[in-house]
Amino acid sequence: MKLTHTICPSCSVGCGINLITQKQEAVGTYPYKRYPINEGKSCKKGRECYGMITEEKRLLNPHIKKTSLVGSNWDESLNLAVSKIKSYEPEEIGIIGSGNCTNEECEILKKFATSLGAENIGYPAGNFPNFDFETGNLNDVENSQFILITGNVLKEYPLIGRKIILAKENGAEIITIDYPQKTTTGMISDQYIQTESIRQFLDDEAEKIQTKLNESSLILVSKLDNKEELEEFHQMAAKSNSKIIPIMKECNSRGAMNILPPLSEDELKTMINGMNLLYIVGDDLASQLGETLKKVDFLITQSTTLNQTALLSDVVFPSACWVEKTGSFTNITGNTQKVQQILPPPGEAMDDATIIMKIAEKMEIDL
Amino acid sequence: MDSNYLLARAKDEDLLKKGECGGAVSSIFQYLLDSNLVDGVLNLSHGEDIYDGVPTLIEDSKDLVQTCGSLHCAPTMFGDLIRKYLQDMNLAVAVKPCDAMAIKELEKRHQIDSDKIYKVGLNCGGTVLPITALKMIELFYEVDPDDVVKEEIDKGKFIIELADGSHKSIEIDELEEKGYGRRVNCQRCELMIPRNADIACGNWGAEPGWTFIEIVTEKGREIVENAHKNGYLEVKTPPEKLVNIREKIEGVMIKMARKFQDKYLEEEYPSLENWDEYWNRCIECYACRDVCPLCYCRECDLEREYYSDSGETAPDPLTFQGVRLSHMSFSCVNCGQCEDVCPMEIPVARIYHRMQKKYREQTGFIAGMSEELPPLFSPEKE
Amino acid sequence: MSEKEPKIIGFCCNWCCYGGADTAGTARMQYPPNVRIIRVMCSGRINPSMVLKAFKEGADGVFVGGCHIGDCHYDAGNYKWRRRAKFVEDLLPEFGIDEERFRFEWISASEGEKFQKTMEEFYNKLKGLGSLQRSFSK
Ligand SMILES: Cc1cc2nc3c(=O)[nH]c(=O)nc-3n(C[C@H](O)[C@H](O)[C@H](O)COP(=O)(O)OP(=O)(O)OC[C@H]3O[C@@H](n4cnc5c(N)ncnc54)[C@H](O)[C@@H]3O)c2cc1C
Ligand code: SF4
Ligand code: SF4
Ligand code: SF4
Ligand code: SF4
Ligand code: FES
Repeated sequence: MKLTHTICPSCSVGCGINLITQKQEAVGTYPYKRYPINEGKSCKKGRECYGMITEEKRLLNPHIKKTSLVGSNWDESLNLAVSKIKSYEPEEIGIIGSGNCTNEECEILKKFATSLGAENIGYPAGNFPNFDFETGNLNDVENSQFILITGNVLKEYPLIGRKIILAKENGAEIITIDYPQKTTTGMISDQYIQTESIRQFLDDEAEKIQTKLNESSLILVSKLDNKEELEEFHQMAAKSNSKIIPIMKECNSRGAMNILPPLSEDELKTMINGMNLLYIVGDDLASQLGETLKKVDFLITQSTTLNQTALLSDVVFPSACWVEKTGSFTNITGNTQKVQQILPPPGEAMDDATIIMKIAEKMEIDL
Repeated sequence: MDSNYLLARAKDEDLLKKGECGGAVSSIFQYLLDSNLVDGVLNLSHGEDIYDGVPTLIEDSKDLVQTCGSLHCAPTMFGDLIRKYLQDMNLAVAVKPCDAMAIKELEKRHQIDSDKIYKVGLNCGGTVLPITALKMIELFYEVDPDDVVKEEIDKGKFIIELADGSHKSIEIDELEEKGYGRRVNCQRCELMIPRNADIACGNWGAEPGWTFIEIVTEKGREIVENAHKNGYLEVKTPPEKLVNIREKIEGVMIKMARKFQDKYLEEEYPSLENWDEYWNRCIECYACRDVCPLCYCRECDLEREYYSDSGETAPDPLTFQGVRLSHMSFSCVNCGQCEDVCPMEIPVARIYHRMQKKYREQTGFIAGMSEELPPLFSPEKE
Repeated sequence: MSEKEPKIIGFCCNWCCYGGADTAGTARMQYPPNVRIIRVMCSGRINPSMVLKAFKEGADGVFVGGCHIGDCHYDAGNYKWRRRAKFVEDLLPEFGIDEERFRFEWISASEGEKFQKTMEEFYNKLKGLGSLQRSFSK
């Protein structure tokens, strides 16, 4: 039995956890109380993250589609993928990364796309745009006197939720905006504004709230309906010298954003519709865009598990989980944290960067 | 070795040097590993610094130097780790009283095999959460926590030692009044000398460079005697004066703990309105249950649909903590883990400790100490 | 039944108290109609969670009836229940529920009258306490 420090891969907060391994297998997690972000506290997703490693559907070797998906080897699958990539024009090729990829993987993927001349590249970012304004940090949450929240942060990002609770205990006023009739975050707030849409809030109520904002306020944006809305929240913050933290979903959403273009669901759809070959690294796109993906001629996927996207694919490369490789994640407050390899990838799986390099090598692209 | 009290120290020079007191604990582990009486030793090694205690399984006695010394800012729990991952091993483990209490309850429930485990107890005056320690050292000691090479709790003070050998100390009381210092459950903890382990080791009553050992069980006597006979341990009889001093300190500490119990479980106990506020923020993450050494069910009642509420708001406390309380609070050992890990800062351990106290008053059952299971489990007609 | 009438859940052991309720019924002894009886095979079957669940679902009072000590069909079920019942009494106030809203009694199958009396007393007690206002807001 061995405990090793790592970063939780389940959301963008970047909590520390201890991974328990036994005979080179992940068996559990243990509180990491020395870690400043979460002090040993973690949510269910965090405690159970080791399940990603031991997941029954882990891919152990490459697969290719014959009539159905069948096991293959690296040579055959790489050759097939490469010959297909070569057979399309760069304009017909779409490349999609993920907020779950490390910064280093995003970089390599981008380089690969550039060398190939493929301009259609991005990663699914929900409704969050790229932004470069300065964001608050976790202590700012705790020390704020007024916090405006969109979404159910307590439930979805509990370790920021904790900082909201600490702020509340220090006397902060909390206002939350969301769609359902009641939410846990709404319940602990001084005021809960149920709204039809974020737009409606911005149009009807934002002005009133603006008067409450000052330099000891903070805006936490975890829910948006539309990319443009973030800028409006940013304006609210800028006008009042408040701090702002957009809360994106994945453990490296913020890092990926700095490297790859963030794409909303609609943008993804539009892009995919124009493509004949799609190369997806690390994202289970089919879970939201299954129908759109079916129209693509040829689908190449790198995935840790036999997920819906893998099942739709023509070539599937088995990839490594976060503790099976070395790299870094950038959390919501812009903190870049290293993750070290703790375990070897299972079976023939390799880390995403290595797989991208292998493809590049066969294509005689120098990365 | 007729007496149950003795002073001991390591024969091994490294262990003597690196050990907290006399390195006796590490020497006993060394003896147990070398003579193949155990397959492994579970204790703590330093992670990134002295505030980072990482549970570590040592299988080669040469590695024991890395785990020497006491980490007062490492509130870990071993009960769960042993039950889940180390059941098949013959094991020796360094236990704080709360570890020993949890293990005891698990032994009674056949979750840990008492024949396979040596419990080497460490006296404990309380632990500090690592981040609390960092903040406190910056704030009150005005020292960069990275410059601290050693920390210690002695004579009611939290003492830090700097690289140049100098010390700084502040009264624990003062720190605790300001919300720092030991975890609140530790403040309430009245088991300082783990007489539920095989031996209890500490610095109380010890001469400098020696570890004071109280032998509790026959198994405990055997390992100390044999470690001595086999040349791992040097032992001598403590002067009676020191034995008395130790007893006195223990008495004072217990009294203080009871005062804290009154404070936290009665006088300053959260009102029902406060509890409602707490329960309203519960995100049903089960961290409190998962970390609790007493909650080990494969299929937990709390996750049954029968009790569940709609997901968007907090679960009804009656059928959430209420159900968990009804399952195990009578056996709560006040280890504080549930409260440590709750992401919503709910003082969970307080209600559990309070219920165990009520239960103790009614039945005499002391969680983690009594030899029997709580009477709730008894088939007796009484 | 008017809104203000207390809602009572009664867990009754099949071998005794349930029979007691039956006896009361056949003898046309009047007892408050607000009691919803749930038959269980032994008071030893009741665990605190069931009492908690009843309160959560809106009961104003919970009653448990078992065989007289010594008469349990499963030998010691009612001893076990008694230990649990004490615990329930300690637990309920922690959630703002007056322990008087919880009652247990030993009633044999022939004791229709005792059943009737107990229910009346309990009903009156609950009527006096008013309907259970839980502070947990949800
Ligand atoms: C938190 C804490 C508080 C203490 N308070 C008191 C006290 O008030 N009075 C008193 O008489 N003695 C106290 N002790 C015990 C004392 O500090 C020594 O551990 C004991 O005397 C043994 O000394 P040694 O040189 O023989 O131990 P060593 O040979 O140095 O071995 C110590 C062993 O304890 C393990 N350990 C260190 N920290 C922890 C921890 N947090 N949890 C579990 N295992 C750990 C180490 O890994 C090592 O195996 C405390 C110890 C701890 C850990
Ligand atoms: S609960 Fe008791 S034994 Fe455990 S760390 Fe705290 S004071 Fe020590
Ligand atoms: S309820 Fe909390 S304090 Fe009690 S034993 Fe479980 S984790 Fe420890
Ligand atoms: S709450 Fe009850 S069922 Fe769930 S793990 Fe704890 S004791 Fe078991
Ligand atoms: S750890 Fe806290 S938030 Fe999570 S279930 Fe327990 S009480 Fe609720
Ligand atoms: S059978 Fe009636 S109480 Fe057990």
